[in-house]
Amino acid sequence: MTDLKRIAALLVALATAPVVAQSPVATQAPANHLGVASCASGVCHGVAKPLDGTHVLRNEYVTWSHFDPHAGAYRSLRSEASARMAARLGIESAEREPLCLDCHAENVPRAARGPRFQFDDGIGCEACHGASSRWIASHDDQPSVTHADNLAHGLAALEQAEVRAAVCTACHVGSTDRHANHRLMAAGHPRLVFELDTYSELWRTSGGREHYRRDDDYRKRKTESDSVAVWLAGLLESAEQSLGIVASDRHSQGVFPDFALFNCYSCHRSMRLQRWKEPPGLAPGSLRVNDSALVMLAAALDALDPAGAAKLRAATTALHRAANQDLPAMRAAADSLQQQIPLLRQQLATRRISAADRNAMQDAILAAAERGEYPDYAAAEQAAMAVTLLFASSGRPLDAEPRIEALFADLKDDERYDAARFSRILNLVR
Amino acid sequence: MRYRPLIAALLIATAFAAVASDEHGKPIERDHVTAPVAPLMQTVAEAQTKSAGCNDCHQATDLPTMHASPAVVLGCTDCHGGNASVRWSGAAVAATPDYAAARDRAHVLPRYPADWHHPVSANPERSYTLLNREAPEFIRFVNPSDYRVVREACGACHMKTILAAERSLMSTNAMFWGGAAYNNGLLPFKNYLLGEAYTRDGEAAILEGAPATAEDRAIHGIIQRLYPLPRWQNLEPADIFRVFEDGGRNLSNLFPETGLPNAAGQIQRLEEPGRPDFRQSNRGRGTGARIAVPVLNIHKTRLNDPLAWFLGTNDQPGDYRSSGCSACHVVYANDRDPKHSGAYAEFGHTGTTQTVDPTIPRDRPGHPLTHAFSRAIPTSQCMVCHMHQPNLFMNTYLGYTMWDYESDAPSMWPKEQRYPNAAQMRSMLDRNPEGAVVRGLWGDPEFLKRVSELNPTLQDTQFADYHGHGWNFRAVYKRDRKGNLLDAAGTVVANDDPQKFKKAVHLSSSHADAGMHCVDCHFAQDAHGNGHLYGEVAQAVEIDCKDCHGTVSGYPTLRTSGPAAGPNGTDLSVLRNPDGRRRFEWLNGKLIQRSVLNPALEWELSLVKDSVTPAHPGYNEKAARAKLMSRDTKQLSWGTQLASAELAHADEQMECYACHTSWTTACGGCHLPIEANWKTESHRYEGGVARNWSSYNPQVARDDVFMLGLRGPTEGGKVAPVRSSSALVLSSTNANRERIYVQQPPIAASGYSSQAMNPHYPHTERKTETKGCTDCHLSASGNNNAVIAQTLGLGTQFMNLLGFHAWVGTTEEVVAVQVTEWDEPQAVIGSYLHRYAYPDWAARHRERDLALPTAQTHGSGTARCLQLRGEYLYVAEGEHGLVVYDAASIGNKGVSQRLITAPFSPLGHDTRVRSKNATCVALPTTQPVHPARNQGELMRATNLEQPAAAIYNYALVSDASEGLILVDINTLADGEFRNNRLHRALTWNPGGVLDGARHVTIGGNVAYVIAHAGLVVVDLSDPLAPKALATVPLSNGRASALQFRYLFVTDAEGLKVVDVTQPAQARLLPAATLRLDHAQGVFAARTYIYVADGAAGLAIVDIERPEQPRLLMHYDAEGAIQDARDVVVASTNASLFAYVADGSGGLKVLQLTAPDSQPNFYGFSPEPKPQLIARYTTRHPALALSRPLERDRAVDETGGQIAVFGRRGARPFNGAEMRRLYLDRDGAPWVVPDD
Repeated sequence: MTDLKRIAALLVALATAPVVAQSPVATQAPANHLGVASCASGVCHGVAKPLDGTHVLRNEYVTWSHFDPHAGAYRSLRSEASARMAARLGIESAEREPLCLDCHAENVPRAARGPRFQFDDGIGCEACHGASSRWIASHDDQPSVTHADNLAHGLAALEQAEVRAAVCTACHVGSTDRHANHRLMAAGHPRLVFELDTYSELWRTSGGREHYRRDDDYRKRKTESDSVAVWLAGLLESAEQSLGIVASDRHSQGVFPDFALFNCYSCHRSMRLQRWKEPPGLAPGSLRVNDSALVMLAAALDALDPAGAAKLRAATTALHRAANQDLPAMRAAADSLQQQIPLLRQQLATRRISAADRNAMQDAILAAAERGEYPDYAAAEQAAMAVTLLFASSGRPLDAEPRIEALFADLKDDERYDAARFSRILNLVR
Repeated sequence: MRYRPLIAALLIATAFAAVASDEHGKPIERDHVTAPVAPLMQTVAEAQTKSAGCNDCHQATDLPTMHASPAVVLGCTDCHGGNASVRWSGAAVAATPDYAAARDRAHVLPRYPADWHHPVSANPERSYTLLNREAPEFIRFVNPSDYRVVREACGACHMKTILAAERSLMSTNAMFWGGAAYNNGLLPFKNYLLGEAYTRDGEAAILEGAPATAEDRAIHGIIQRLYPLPRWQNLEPADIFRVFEDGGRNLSNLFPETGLPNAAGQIQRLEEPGRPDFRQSNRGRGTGARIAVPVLNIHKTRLNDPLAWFLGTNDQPGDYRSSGCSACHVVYANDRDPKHSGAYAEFGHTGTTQTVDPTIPRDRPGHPLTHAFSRAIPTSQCMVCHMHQPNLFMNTYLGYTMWDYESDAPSMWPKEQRYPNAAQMRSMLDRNPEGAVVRGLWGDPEFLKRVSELNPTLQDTQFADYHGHGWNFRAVYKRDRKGNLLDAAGTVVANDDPQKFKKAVHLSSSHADAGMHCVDCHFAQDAHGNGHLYGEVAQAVEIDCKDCHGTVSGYPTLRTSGPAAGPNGTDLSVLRNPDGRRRFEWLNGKLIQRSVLNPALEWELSLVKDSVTPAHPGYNEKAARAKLMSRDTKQLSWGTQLASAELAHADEQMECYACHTSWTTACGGCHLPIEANWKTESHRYEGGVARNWSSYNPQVARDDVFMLGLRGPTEGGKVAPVRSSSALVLSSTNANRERIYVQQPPIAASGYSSQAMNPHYPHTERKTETKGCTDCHLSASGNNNAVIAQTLGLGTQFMNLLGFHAWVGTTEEVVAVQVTEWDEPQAVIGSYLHRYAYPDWAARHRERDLALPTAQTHGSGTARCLQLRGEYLYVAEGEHGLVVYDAASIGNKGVSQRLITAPFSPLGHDTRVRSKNATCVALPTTQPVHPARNQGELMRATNLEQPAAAIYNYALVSDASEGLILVDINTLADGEFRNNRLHRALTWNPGGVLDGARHVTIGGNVAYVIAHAGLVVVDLSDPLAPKALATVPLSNGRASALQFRYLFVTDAEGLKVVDVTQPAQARLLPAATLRLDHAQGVFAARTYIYVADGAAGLAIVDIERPEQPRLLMHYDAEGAIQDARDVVVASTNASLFAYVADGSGGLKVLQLTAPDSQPNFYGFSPEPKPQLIARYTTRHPALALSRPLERDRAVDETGGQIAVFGRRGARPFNGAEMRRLYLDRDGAPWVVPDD
């Protein structure tokens, strides 16, 4: 079991953590989704207990069935909550609504579904690993078939942080084609929360069972991404996708941009509490575009490229201001900010993150907290996850780490979030 | 110690050279190329090169890799071997030499082309050991999944499953061989030793089980190692038959020496002067057909074989299948009923193919439907093997049982009697081991195929469409205890209603009715095994009812929890059907299961917890009351407030199917008549032909017997239904066609009778037709005494075997009257069956005015009481005392005096016990037993046998002057002929209490003696220290018969009823007395009691309510019965018969029920419709009849076990457990309402 077991439990307890999943860029290839059952055989990935001496655990299907939230993605559309949401939204059934199915099922065209494909399997193997019809017959033939061969046949290179980021954010953040809009949220959909590294680990070890093991064999066949790199890739992809949504004009509702593009907490404030504070540079009452990835990116850049960080912060602030100005300005600001992401990605990709960098990033996040840059819960949970993964990536065990425990205990209730208190507790994690 | 040589023989048996000749000709020597092992993975291009030449002719096939999964990449030769580089550019099939040459270069060729019908690819008929002789390369060519070669073809992916499957009971047959060996006294080990397995080259193999700790082996019944079955020729007999005793000098000049033949037969030619000895040979055991018939049978007669190591026999509907993995996973056309075959039904039942491969002929039986593996295995595929009585008998699941030759006889027997010659008989018997087949219409395969098409025209039953082994299976319908057909509402359906079989409820399992097939409950592990060796079917099952239905307190876990389940069970929730869907799914609080065979079918599971939760829509008060009933029999309160320990029917104590069973099969035995002159092929190991063969003849297969007992500890020790499981009676006809023993039941290794019983799962659960309160407890209206007698395993004297002879005591001699044919079916002469099976002989019998022609006699004293058991006839002969005759040669035409008192000389054999006036003799059971075997650590601790009650060592003799005499008769069951001397062990008559003793009835440890004083109840718990318990005055009492709580007694006033619920408080029920003028011998069979009423004939009295007997009729056969003195009742096939000792009128045989006289003949107790069918005039007045073999008596009234229970630790209820079902803590009977 990993050190993250405990943190997993803590995170799961986060009141607002959504269980959503995604169907990635699966439609790109003329390959078919053969369905979970094609992988589930007892001689393939469906053994009852993980096997030793094999290159994969072989019980991935069983783990998925019981412990992977993705397996329940479609089933959740049958729940009473989904029925209520559907009623509020005026749609006949969540189970048939493309808006829902895009992320709660492998909503690929009928022609791309194999004979054993089951729609109600929710987010199955191929949602992430890619449609299997072109590689299923060959992917196990080691060593004559290499990982590269499999990738060439359409297996998704999920070990690569960028690929994984793209696959996961497609649902957990959204994209211009796929956006959990404010109507959906208002009807009862949980707020989207995502951080690639934390969620990857949580998912990889969900239920205390490993979906895959990063063992020698894994390292031999695949490049292993450092968790900080995964974090950064996730932030970049999240930022790029969410900015893209803002920049596009596809989600406005009448005269307003879609409110789900904004940070929920910039409107959804308790009327009883007056301790809210806008981040520096914004007037009280400003609506803030959902900038949680940008805020974290800026903090990370503080350690690596202070000037770049300042530039990013400035551009973020500009976006917020533009969002309070008018719709074209907002889109333009988002568009210009989005243009910066590929450059940042390139900049980060060429840089090897050292231990000193990690420490500096952590310091920067703590400093940002002290500066009041996490005025609301959405930013704080990102900071908490970031600090935790940086803490862990320095090789320190998370299990029974009281400071981490205290951090997530403080975040238990978003209604009771207090930025100053959070900053104090966060600063203890060093 | 008597087993030591046997075990040695077992170990060295395979070292013997084959003694049998081979009729298959010389094998063709070939240089086979062994194909490489099929790879785990390969590229598609690589695989294609391995199919290139094959596809030239096999231009299309169904699933090229047999697997539906595209993940499997295989070329033809990966699995089959052969040469894919041989190319052909012509038509797919061409009748040219070039084509044949190319084919033969590409294919792997057999060593025995004629046996395989080369080049035809259909599975040959009855190939059996051909697989053991054939080259592995060719076996791989025809069936890569055959176990001999499966590692090479399937091992890369499926090795774990292969190792398990080879060890599963479907391959080893250990449950059957072990049970047969123990139950018939061959091997004393309930942890069985024997199992079938072969090496790649077809050699006999010892099989090691998966590793297990000693503790696990003990808890789960896991066997470490199984040995091959020894050759029958080498194996000594276990049976205590006189012909097997050591010694003797010669038999005859034609004696077949099958064990150790001497060079020129010189020894056999020795002939001593004087009377020929009837013994088998001048050699010892295991030679000269001194062999164990059950073992011969396993080797040579189709029982439940072939198993998975061999191909199916591919000769009859229900017999088409392959071997190894394909035995199950490749579907053949076997049955046209969709309930049995699902969507495969439309493809017929003649084993023909639907393949798209142009080279496979569509009309030749023996081909699979398609070249495809399937997990959607229809029940009809399972039924290829599981249609046989000792083989779980899954017919019950579909609502069928073995046909008894009687129902709808007019449609099944030829109008003209058949006299088949030997060749015709063999051609039928090789397919179907039933002796009767040679005379019936169904011996013709073309008739057999169409039997179920007769259904619309049939009167008595309906037939299944599968005919594995060539057999017929009749449908079982809901009936009341009188045998009336009932519809779903319980309303009687008239027998003349043309729609009666549509209206009456066909008692198939409700699971089958829901569309379920075997594979919908028995998943991968149940089918493949878990790698451990087991000897008991129930030990090897992982699924349990509650895994899918839950319990009163919990919803199902979808984790298996049966005896073979792993620590956490198999996770059923992850199972996927072939169509990719989840097999189980919870949807909105409902548990849904989806059919493996039919993607359009799903059903909701009944959840036990819902059925007992009052607020739930699924609540059922009757179910809730039964499941939540308290153990407190005074209050009979019930409800969810009770803790599990307080529940009367807690699932920890009882199998769910103890109640959830609509009927159970009961095979009241099989007759194995060995024929020395039948030269036949062995079905196992090295095969080969040798003389000696036995047909296999079910005698009484009923569906109305419900019994309860306890499972052994490895299976949870719960209360479970018990069935009689194919007990044997053995006969043997030697080379001179002398019957050297006749219908002899063996004795089990534990000394109990071999009339084996076994807890089992009947697989007949239904929602409405379950067992109710009065099936196991006393009814308030007092009408279920016979039912409870049956339930407890006490027997009901209904399915008794009275075989070839009826044994009659007369004033001056004892007479054995031949009452049946010897041929199969062994019809009672003059009976309904006799008329259809043997119309010529029946006509001759009518011409003789029903007189039976054949009897054997021996002079005696006045034989008022006699009893045959084993090969001995015990006769109370008044002033001669007790005389025990040797009756072993009763059917032997080579012996002039067939009943003898001194087979050697009086000096070596004295089985007479002199007494002053022996009036009656009674044995505690009519089943042969030998308590001396049931001793020691092996029996007590290892085999978990309970000790036999001491009473079973004795014969009880009543003597009018001396009282009660006990004689230890064990010496006649010990196989040693030099100690056959009987002595009295006890004479007991304190204070003259037994003066005038004239009749004894035994109920376990209690004897009911009729004497001057009346009925004297004697406790024989310590047989040598009897205690008088009670005396009930009678008016010159005569005879008695016991049925559970009541003893029926005849005296000068008629039939009286004594309540013996507590024998010490036996009390006459004066109101129950039925006036009869001449009441003498009396015999209770279920709800009727038959009283020999002298000049008035046979009185038949309804005792459904024993406290209110009702005279049904007097029957005197229109005056033919003039002086009825005694009567016994027995079943033959589906009919009930009475045998009456009619004084000067001799023996009268009455058919009590027959399909034409009593359409309700399948009922628990149909009303008798007596008809006189045969008579035999004795030279002296007939006084008494020997009681028949009690085939459903597992245990006695005081809890003493009689019949062997085939599995370790399984047993009938003991006395205390029985009493708990009907007596409260104070010893008073408690009752349940009748509804």
